[in-house]
Amino acid sequence: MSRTTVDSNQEEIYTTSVAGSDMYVTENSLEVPKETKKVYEGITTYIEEQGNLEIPVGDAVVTKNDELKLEDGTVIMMHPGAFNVIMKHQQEKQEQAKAMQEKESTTIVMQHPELLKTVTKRQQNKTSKAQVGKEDR
Amino acid sequence: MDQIQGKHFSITDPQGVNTVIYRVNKTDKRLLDEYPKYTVQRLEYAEELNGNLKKKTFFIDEPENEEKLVILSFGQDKVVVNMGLLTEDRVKIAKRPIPIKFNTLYSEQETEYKEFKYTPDLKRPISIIDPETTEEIKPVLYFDQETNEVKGKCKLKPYKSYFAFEIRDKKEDS
Repeated sequence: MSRTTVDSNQEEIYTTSVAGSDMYVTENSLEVPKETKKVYEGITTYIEEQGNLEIPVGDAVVTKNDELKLEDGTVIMMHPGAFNVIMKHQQEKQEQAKAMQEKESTTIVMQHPELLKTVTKRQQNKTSKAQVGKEDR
Repeated sequence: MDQIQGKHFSITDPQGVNTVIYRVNKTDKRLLDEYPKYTVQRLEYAEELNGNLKKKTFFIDEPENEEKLVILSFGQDKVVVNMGLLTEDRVKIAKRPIPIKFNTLYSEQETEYKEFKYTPDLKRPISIIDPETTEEIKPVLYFDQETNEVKGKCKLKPYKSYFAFEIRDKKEDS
């Protein structure tokens, strides 16, 4: 039987494109020139369909002194502030991850409202027991 | 944190060519109310001169199993747009990139930077690059008290071309 479905991960690779354009600045405005049909779409399928060049990738770290340290021990200086720029991007990602966690916990409660009722009932029981305890004294 | 882990790879620019590389980030669909679907992050690099050639070693922090890259090589009167895919141990780059020719890169008129109104759409991020310097033009946001709106402005030189790009979903074939 021939395969008719596409693996979801593979399909995801081919869905993004880059649209680029030349923008011309006049005295008072930003224009895309009329004769410009210059919205090019570069699609990631090109990489697989047209063949590709390959560049090796290695491990590295960037230090707070803006040093790029490669796995073979080579140290190259980056521009001042490079470390801080990368840290800022990481912080933005962490904020997104935090927003995701908050959404997930809200979703769990909304999908399972009986959990909220159970928690509320337990809290009520605790309060009642505490009150009984006070009365006994 | 004293250091950031990641991966590196190098490319060499011939004289007159300046390459910048962006990493494409796709937002989780559960956050699409608050964040745009795609954002880009410019990769930092270290540069070494070798005669007329410039060796650039790019760094990508904590990459996933696969990372999509946009490679822009700015030349004298055009930019070449290429795509890359970074995996565990290599970057695959398409063999046939797309050139975009500029209308006017250099103006004979002496012009100074002027401030233009440009309020970016935060749901549709567009990156604007000066092809001469490869610097990104980032608008400055301010609060307009008269209209009670957040607006933007940026400094650009008139009678000059800039390069703008965005990441979007591939169009469906009709």
